[in-house]
Amino acid sequence: MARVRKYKIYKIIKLAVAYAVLTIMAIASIFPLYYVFMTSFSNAPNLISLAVSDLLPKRLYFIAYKELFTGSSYGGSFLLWLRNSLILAGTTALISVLLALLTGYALSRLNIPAKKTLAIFIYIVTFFPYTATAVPLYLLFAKFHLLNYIGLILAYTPGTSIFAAFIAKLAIDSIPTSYEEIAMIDGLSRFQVFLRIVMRLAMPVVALTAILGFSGAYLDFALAYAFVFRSAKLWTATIGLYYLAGLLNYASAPAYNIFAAGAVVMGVPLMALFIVSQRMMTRAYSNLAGVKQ
Amino acid sequence: MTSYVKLENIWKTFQEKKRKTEVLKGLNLDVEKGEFVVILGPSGEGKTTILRIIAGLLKQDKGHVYLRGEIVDDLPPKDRNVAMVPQNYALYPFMSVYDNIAFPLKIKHTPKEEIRKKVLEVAKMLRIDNLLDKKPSQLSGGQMQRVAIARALVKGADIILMDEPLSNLDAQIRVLAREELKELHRELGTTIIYVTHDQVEALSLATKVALLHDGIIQAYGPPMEVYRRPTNAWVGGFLGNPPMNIVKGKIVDGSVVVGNYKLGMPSDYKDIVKDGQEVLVGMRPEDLEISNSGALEGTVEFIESLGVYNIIHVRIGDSVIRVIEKTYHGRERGEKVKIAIDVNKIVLFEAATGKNLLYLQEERK
Repeated sequence: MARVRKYKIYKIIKLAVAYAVLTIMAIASIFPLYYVFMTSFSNAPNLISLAVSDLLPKRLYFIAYKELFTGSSYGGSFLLWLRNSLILAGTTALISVLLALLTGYALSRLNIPAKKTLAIFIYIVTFFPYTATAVPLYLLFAKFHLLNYIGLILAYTPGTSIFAAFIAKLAIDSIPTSYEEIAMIDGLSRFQVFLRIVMRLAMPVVALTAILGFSGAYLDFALAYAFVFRSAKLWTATIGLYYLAGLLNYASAPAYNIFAAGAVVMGVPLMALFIVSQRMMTRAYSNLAGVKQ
Repeated sequence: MTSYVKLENIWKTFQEKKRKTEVLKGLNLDVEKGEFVVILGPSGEGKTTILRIIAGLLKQDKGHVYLRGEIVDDLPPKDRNVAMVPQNYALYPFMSVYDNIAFPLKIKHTPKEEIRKKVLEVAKMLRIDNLLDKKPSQLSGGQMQRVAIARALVKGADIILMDEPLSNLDAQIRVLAREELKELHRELGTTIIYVTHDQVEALSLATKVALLHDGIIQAYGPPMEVYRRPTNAWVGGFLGNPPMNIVKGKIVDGSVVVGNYKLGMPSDYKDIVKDGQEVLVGMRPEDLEISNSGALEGTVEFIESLGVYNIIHVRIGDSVIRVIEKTYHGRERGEKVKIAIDVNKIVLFEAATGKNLLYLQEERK
């Protein structure tokens, strides 16, 4: 009996510690989001104070959102910039997925010379921060007249897809070749098999690559600023928001509530993408479960 | 008679990190229409490679593949009109059973109504019509195997390649599946090329069995013929459980002599052998009998009791001979026994090459 009671107490302590740690971590990660969210509903352009009474607002103001959606400045509007960002990020994600999966497939399945060296090289390249390449890329693309969206997509995709290619290789390695062989015997060409079978079986990696590619391009400021700053019509949401909220001018008071509202709006597509891709990942895994290899 | 599937002098070498492995070395195989050919051989001898070459998934280094009398060396897999059942069944996990079976037809853009009709037809035939809405992960091994066969049948290919489709099943279901497969073949008359390392499967399923070893077909023919009259000592030593006993012997005064024991002369070989010739003597364990009138003498070394029968290992000189006893005698180690054999069931191989002297004689003619 004593042993059972001891075990029960031990179990309760373990749970208590686990919940305490999780609660602290949850607060640490949720609070900034909550703070931004609340700031966006404030009527004053300054940051809300951290006093407990201010953290639970008595009234929600929609001034910041109204300003965000109706206001136009520098010859553009937030909605236009958001649209630009979505197109840019969507295209980057799409091309990243194709590029990453094709590279991963080649590294995994095809008999190419120096395959192992290539795979290791790719692995090492993924360690370089892509911002380090911003300056040389700018100089290079300026020469080729590519300081536009095509240039931006060209600059974004390799960063994502080279990292994803390595993961895709590992994922495709674990898919038995018989799936592809049967599909080929049943009448598909190799490329069709890649599109219809391999991509489908590697769905978790497809989803991951899409998220990485999308959020990388969507949230980028530095490269977009360098490439398309010339024309406000071409700005992305990140650049637009920066100027709209007046963050550039230290003399003027920045409108933090507008900035926060923009951040919240920008977060919606990202969140939707996360939910969709998470479902894709879990479904893919539950499908693969229970298959004897 | 023209053959339906023909492999002519097929060579295949795999290269892995500068190490070359020759898998197929001039393999020939003729399969006639409607036959159920089982390619039997030890693991790692290239059985699956043969199927992949027939299907077009792999290209042979040398030699030709003929399907339905036409050379297909440069035809991609999709144009060869063969179907395949792989070892792991390869059912697409993201499709329902129905969609899996329908997939080959969907690729061909068959009208929806026709797809439905055909899928239901094969599903009924294989008794999986109640599973059509399920996902592969919800099926048992036996059901997956049937779905895989249904998918192979649905597109109406008249050549079906099977790569150990029963190896993932447990023993009882395997016996059932074996019978069903045989029945299916009888009904449809499709040409089936089936690969396995399981001899019982091979002997029971095949209309013709092909033994693969050392990159070539060592023996090819109806199972019982290959079993009773092995073309060479390797075939004899591979087929059968326990396999054939093969011991060194000599021809002395028109009689086969093993050690110091005279066995007599099988009538088939009477005119072929010469006095003083060195031979390998092949004796099936089930043709041997422990009896006091036996010509061979030895001591019991080891007894394996398998229920249905007992395998007695008897040491004679420096070789061990396995004898099957149907009834249990409670023999003990060290017991002296005599072994009798029906002389006409002995098979003689040439000592140097291991070839059956009968076939060697026919080759020379």
